[in-house]
Amino acid sequence: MGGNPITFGELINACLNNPGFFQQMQDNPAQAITQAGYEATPMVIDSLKNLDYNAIRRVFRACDPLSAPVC
Amino acid sequence: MSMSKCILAAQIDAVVDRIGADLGASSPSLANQVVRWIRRISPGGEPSAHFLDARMFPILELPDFVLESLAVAPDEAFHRSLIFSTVHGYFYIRLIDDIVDGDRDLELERKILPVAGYFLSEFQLGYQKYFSAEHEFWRAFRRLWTASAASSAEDAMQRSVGFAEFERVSSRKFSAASIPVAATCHHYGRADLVPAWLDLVDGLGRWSQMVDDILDWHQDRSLGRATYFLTEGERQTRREESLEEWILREGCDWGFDLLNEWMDRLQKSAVQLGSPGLMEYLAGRKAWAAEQHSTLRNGLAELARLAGILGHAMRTKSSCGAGTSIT
Repeated sequence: MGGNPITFGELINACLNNPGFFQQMQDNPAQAITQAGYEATPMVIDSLKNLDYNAIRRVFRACDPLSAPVC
Repeated sequence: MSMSKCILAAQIDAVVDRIGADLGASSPSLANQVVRWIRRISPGGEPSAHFLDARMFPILELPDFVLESLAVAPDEAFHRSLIFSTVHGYFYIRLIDDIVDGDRDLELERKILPVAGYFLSEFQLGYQKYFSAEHEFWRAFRRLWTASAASSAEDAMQRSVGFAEFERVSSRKFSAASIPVAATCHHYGRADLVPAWLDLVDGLGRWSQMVDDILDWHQDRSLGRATYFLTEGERQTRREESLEEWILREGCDWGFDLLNEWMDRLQKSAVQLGSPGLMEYLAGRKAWAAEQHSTLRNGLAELARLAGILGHAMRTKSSCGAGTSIT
């Protein structure tokens, strides 16, 4: 395996900086993961297809101070 | 939108129009800049949407909750004056807070900063029409206004926030919202109710600040702000566990359980105060918080699954030049 595996914290930080990544991951997982520097094996692609991307997007919407006014 | 919300929205819009007209009489270009700032901090550019948003502290609704509990004929002019005053007071606090927080480009805020003096005078003048200089109300005004200013300043300087600091400082940033509440009690001759209503606003401030701490955890952390949630996260994380892993394992549930516990107490107080509007408002906030809890828990679990998939995937390069990189 090249490089270090991504951590949960790194993933959250990276996704908040690039929320469009999830759209690409949902629309074309093979291309998204290849561009992100991972090998797009059938097993990985299958696993990615089973993720609930809407649930992930809802987290970032809930935690986005720009779309949620401050109290 | 309910009829009462529509009326409130129209009143808020009228206050913003008045701000534009007041300032425009001296400087049309300044008025344009101030109104542009007000629209910029409002979702969809609508000031009324900002004040009536679910996440907004109910600064304009609180006096109505008090009124409901008194079973007296409302003095409509007094309540319109409260809205006028409170909207100005909010813009005063918000303008200062934005500059103190300094988390984005603040060129416009710095340019219009002198207008803070206008916001403050309009906020205070609203009360001078109803309370003489010797009136007991001004003691509450001075205490609450000072507490609000001191808490905001001290909160910005904190490096770590334990529960004691959270109680004493962070959650007291909403103290100014108690001023129209105290004014309502005094105006209707019920000064005896001030302590109970102020306790309620304090509790609601604590609850609202914790919601902010939880939902804004990522932004607070990246800007180096100390909050109770982040401080507790640092304390509770296990050896070699990241803050994000703590939030997923326990922190999210811990934070929302605490919110639930505080909300139960608020709801009991609301029953004692006898305000159906407040009870309905709190029930709505409780349901909203439960929805946010579920959103965070489910979404973070999916993200953990994604991290697991990527953790086992073969990396083709250690860092990405072109294309979409997520690291």
